[in-house]
Amino acid sequence: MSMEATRLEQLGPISSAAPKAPAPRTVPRNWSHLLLLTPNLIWIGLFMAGALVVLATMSFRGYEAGGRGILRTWELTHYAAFLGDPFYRDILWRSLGMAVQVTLWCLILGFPLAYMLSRLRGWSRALLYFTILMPLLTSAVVRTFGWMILLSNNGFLNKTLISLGLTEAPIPMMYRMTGIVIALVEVLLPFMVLALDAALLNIDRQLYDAARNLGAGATRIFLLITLPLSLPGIISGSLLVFVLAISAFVTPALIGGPRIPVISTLIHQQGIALLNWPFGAAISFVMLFTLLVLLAVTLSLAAKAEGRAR
Amino acid sequence: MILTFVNALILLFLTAPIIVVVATAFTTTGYPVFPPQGFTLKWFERFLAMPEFTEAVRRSAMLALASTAIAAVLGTFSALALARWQGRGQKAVAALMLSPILFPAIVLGLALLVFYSQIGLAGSFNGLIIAHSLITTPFVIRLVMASLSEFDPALEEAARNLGAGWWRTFLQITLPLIRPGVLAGAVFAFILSFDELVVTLFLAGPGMATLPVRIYTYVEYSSTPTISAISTTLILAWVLIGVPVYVRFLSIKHV
Amino acid sequence: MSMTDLELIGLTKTYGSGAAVDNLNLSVAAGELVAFLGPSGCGKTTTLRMVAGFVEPTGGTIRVQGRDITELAPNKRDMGMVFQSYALFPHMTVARNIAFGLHARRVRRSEVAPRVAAALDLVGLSGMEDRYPRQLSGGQQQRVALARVLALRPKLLLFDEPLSNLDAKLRVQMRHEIRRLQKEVGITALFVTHDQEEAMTIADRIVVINAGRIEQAGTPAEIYDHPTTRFVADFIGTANLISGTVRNGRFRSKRGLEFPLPTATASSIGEMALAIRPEKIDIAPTPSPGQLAGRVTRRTRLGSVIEYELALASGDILVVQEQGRAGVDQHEPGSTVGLQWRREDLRLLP
Repeated sequence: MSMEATRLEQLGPISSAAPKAPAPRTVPRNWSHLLLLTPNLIWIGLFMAGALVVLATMSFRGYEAGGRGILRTWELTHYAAFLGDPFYRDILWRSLGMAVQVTLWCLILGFPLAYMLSRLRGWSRALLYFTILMPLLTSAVVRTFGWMILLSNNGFLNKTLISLGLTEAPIPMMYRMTGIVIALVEVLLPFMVLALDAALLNIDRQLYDAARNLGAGATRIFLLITLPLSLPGIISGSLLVFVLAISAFVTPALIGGPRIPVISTLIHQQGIALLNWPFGAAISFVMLFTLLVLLAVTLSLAAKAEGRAR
Repeated sequence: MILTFVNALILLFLTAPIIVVVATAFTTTGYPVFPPQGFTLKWFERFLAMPEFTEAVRRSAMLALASTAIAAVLGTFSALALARWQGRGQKAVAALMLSPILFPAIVLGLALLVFYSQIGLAGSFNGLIIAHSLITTPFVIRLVMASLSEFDPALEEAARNLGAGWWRTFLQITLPLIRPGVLAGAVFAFILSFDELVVTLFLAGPGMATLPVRIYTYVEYSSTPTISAISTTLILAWVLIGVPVYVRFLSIKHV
Repeated sequence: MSMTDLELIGLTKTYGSGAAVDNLNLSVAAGELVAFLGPSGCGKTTTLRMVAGFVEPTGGTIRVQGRDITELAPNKRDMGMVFQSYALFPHMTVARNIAFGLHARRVRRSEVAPRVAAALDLVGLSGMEDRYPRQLSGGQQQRVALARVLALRPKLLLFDEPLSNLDAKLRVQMRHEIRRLQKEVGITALFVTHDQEEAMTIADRIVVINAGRIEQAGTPAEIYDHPTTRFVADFIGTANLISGTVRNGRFRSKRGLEFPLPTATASSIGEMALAIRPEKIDIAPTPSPGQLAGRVTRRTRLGSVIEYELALASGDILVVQEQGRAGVDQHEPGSTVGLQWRREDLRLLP
């Protein structure tokens, strides 16, 4: 076997250029990370942060409808107008209420689906996962359009309810909050399911075996083990759905129409139809502020829940 | 089992609007009705004959292509840096870069509109491309990071130990191994950009309507099976592209 | 004329919580295989990775063949590292894996193929060029990892616990393979391991590391027969350690056991530990008068060796190992036996 060693030997040292003086490490390790991140940081910094700063500035500018338009003044009129006027406050409450309803229903419907998904393995799991994810591939407009067809007074849903004898007259759902909630729940359900599934997968299987071994039945296991331990997922899923619900535009716009304004349609109206950018900006920041408060509260709740689930 | 039955109903609920849209694309009636009556392909023909829609498709595709290219590059670089960075700022920077996912599109739309008007990008196609790339990059980051987490860091160290410089290591070792993640991220970004409506509504200049914008304005005022036909085509396209990429991404993850 | 191939001078690495490697000094001669041995977290891997260039030292110097390479990037150091997970590139064939380093160093095209073939031959894997790593067994992957670094004829070979993922039999086999190859190609090597048997078998010299510091460096025989600290005596093999004090040439254990010491150590004074290897104690079936006596409290059969636990009158416990031979009576638990040993087998440790 030493023949092979000498054969490798015979090939001689690797014929490359004579070694120069040792070059120092050109870029320290952490700096190279920063280098890779810089393009994206610039991108986000300029276009997202920059745009938000400009918008914030705009929210303090005066506006003369039908007159000179945007003024170069500094005023709080828009914030006062929004928070002071009961009409606008109602819209805010309505939007919050809508988001809460959507979140609750997503939880109720999402949990069974997520529970089943988390128990599957291999191909059946991949298939179910894809089926749940697939609606996300279709744009919100398409899905909302489908709901418009389903929810109209002559639509399939009402016709079925009438033929089943559950109601005598068609239940109005289009141009009503009911319709918006139904459609939004469908649109956002996958997000909740995915968040719950991730949390459920984290629960050690052996806890269930231990519980059964100690004599617990299915209900007890669900209430005392599954639910508490999946709390992090419930919180993160709810947060995601809530934020997406409040920011949703297409669904409330098409199904609610002008009769049921919510915050996002209001912003759109002010910004595009009425060109009252300052007011639109102020509303946007009220919305952002609300979301920020919510995020802070949720994250602290989540931190506590995470601690217990370990 | 009750659970399976309940879940079947929920799944039905989840896919209901899609089923309705696809079904009504073939109805012979002049307006979308479910269940559909008759069978015809004329709505598809009609849609293909309407330049405002075919033009919009082309525009959406170009926009999606351009913004995906940017998102793929920015996203991959960011994911590489974030995955290997153990330092203190990592969590904050990662949160910052992933924030566009949660950020309300309606606010972003208005903000960019106002911002663009100050810097002369208002109503421009480039402005749209930038906006779309902002929205889709976080998804690329997420998917590439998932791919990287399956990746033994010793592989890059081995390459360096054997004499490879940064570039060679990246090209021959890192890139091939994260390719599934980059691909999945790019496909996802493309679909997201193509389907994007809200921000585009704010930023699209005259004559720049993308397909979702066209569909939206159409649906606002009328309701014809043509819309169903367009939607069905889109759904089919995304499923045909999405499934193979998804399958490949999943299977690579488990290797 | 042995040249010093590798010098570690004052090598230190501190993290926020403390020093992982603390002022390490070591000289390795050309062609030597030095094992870094120690418990997990002792700093042996950190030291190896500093030599490889993946960790930046907080202080100190690393010299290879006289040249200071401390600031050199890892891909310019001309060392070959074999990783614990082998780190074979999964998307490349065996041949491409081995050729990778050659291409990186811009070896002429015509030279690459013969070198790859020669390297595969050296590790006994000729003909596997077109296989992918996932098609190979653990032992085969290990050999490819070896071939990949050997093909480059580096100045230094670095092994980071390469055998941990193999089953026991294969581990023993590969141990000898690695040593054989290393001796054949004559490249200086550093071998990190937590397995003392491995270190004893494979190394020319063992460096025992504990909490970032070198406890003792020496040949396997030196380390085993003449440990200089309690840690080394305890970490290598089993040792009976009895704490006590030394005064006037006599040793007195904490529990009152007393005996004279070998003259060589008679000058030591103060708190010490007495160490004696279990196989260096002889058991006499019945204690003769004046001889140290102990009661057998446990008897265990360890393969070919029988291990006894003996309780002395003073309360100290000793572990004794005897070769089990058929026909020779084993000592019964509960019986009282006599103990003796040679004075020169005693070690006094600070």
